[in-house]
Amino acid sequence: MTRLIQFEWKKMIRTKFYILFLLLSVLFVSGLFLRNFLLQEEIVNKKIEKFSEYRKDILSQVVTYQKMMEDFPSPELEEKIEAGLLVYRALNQLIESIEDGNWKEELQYEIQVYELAMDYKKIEGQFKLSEKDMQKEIQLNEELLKRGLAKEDLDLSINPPIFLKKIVTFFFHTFGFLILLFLLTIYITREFEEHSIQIAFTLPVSKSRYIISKFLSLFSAGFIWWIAIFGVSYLLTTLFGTSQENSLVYPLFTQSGNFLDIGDYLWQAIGYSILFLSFAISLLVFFGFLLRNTIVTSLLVFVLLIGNHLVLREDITALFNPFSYQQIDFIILKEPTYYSMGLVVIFCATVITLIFTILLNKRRGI
Amino acid sequence: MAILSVSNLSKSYKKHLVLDEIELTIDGPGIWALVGPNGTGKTTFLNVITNILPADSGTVEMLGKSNKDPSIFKQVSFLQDNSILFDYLTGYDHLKYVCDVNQIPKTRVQEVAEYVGMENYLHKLVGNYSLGMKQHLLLAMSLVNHPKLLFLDEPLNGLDPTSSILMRKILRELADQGTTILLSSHNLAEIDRVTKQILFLKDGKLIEKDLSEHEITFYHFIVSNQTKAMELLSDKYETDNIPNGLKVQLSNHQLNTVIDLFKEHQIDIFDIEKEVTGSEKLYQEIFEVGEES
Repeated sequence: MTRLIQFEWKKMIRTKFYILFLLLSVLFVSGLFLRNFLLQEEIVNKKIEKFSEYRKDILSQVVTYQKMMEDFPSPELEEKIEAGLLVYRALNQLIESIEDGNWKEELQYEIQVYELAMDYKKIEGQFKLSEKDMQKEIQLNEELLKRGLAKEDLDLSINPPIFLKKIVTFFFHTFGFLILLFLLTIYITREFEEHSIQIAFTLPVSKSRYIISKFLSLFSAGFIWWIAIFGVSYLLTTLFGTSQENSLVYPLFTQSGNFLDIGDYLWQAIGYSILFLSFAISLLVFFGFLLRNTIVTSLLVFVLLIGNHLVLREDITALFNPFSYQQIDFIILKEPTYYSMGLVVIFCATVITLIFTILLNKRRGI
Repeated sequence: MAILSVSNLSKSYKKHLVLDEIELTIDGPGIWALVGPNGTGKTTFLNVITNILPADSGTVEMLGKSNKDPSIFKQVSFLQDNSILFDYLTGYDHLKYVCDVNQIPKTRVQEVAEYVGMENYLHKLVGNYSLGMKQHLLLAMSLVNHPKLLFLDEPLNGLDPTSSILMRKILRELADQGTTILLSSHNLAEIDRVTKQILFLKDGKLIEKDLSEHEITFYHFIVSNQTKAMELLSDKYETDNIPNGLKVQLSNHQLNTVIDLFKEHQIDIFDIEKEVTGSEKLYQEIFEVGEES
């Protein structure tokens, strides 16, 4: 078996497609990190810009109410002006704390802003965020204060766990898996199309051993891709990124409104991504050996994964559907309790797919 | 125990019956040639008996084991079409792979490469090989495991005269060492040079013929007076003009009569060459092919 896997690897290395793909993936991760690294200043500017916008909006409302008061004084207008000025002052303090880089005060003032804004909205004042969004932000900020952590920009952060989450969202979802599968398809179907598979059929190797070795070599190729992506991300963020103490307990909102530690998120992402990779490759081996045609196999894998992607977009997931795990970020944040059973489901689906592949090809010739 | 035993073997593609209840037993070493026009199913026959293609019915046993048992390929080899080679790998990679899977030490790679005369381009990419070089590599791959039974599909295709001579020499050596060889070929002249045991594949059936019973001998004479020699022989023997001489169909005892006749008419003989043939004649009879006018 080892010798067969070695030969498969030799083929992958000599054709250069896989190596090129690996390099492109590493370059992409590095590029993403570089972009985030260069945009660190931008995070503060973005926040100041956002809250300045809120402040400007509130101020214009207060000025309008004050003008109205001059013509038609009323207790309601007075109450609105008072509440609006409170939000305005809180926003000023928030912006100052952001400029000072005092993250604790920033979180506290942000909570204060949203609380006052909710009061302001109750008396028919206007604020750009919905009450639901403000409540979520308050909840997150309180949790961050409790855990002693500064707020991170999930898109631009170069904090190791946060950046790794970004990588999970970017690579380990339908399109990331699809690109990898398209590349690996040629290592199965091209051998049928070019007849080189016949070498293996006239060697003392059973078809089941050949299929398993093919699966293992492709899976190891996928796994090395996985290691390269995670490894480079971890290395870059550890060497050049920013870090906070206890950053592995950074809270993430699940869809149900509870918090999940980013450490637990990453742990789940690691388990799901490795096992879903094995399932996707077993599926590829199944269709590759069944159809023996690069275009048809790629097309079928595309239709299957995209079809499931559309189902997931409708928020439909099922514990026992292995395709529910193709959007790893989505499934972890939607159904964090699936984890252990989810792994068992994907593993069983992989084994079953491989058994079917062996059974279907046992008596088939070229 | 038969080396190769084929019983009731049938194979069809859709409604077209390619192999029709074929029976064949080969008991000992030697070379057998599988002959038939294009599209008669020679490659299919070899693919089915090696289980690369599943048969519709029938059984095949090689060296006492079913052809469905992949372990037979420890003692059986199949030289296939050169399209099976990986262009982006070297000859060495191919040979090492076959060694590895057969659990044979890799020193065998160099050994077999030297034996077939491909050591000079062993480490070059197969994509840069000529047709003949590819045939050498395929032959080397099929010899790695010291096969007791060897199938060859058109092994003489694309070979230059030097390679053809080497291939014939190797096949004869292998047969002498106890290997049973079944080869398919279009090249009837080459077949005449390597074996007298022919299997004609016609309408899905095998027709076994021993060429020694159908041998025809031609003598090529290079003489001083070709026109006169032609006049003397054309009434009595089947005679043809060839460049600088005559080609005459004769038995051994008739040769002396012709030599005496030339002496009597003062025709000098500069050279005599013997050519034994038979498969072509048999081929024409079996496949009802007329002579070209």
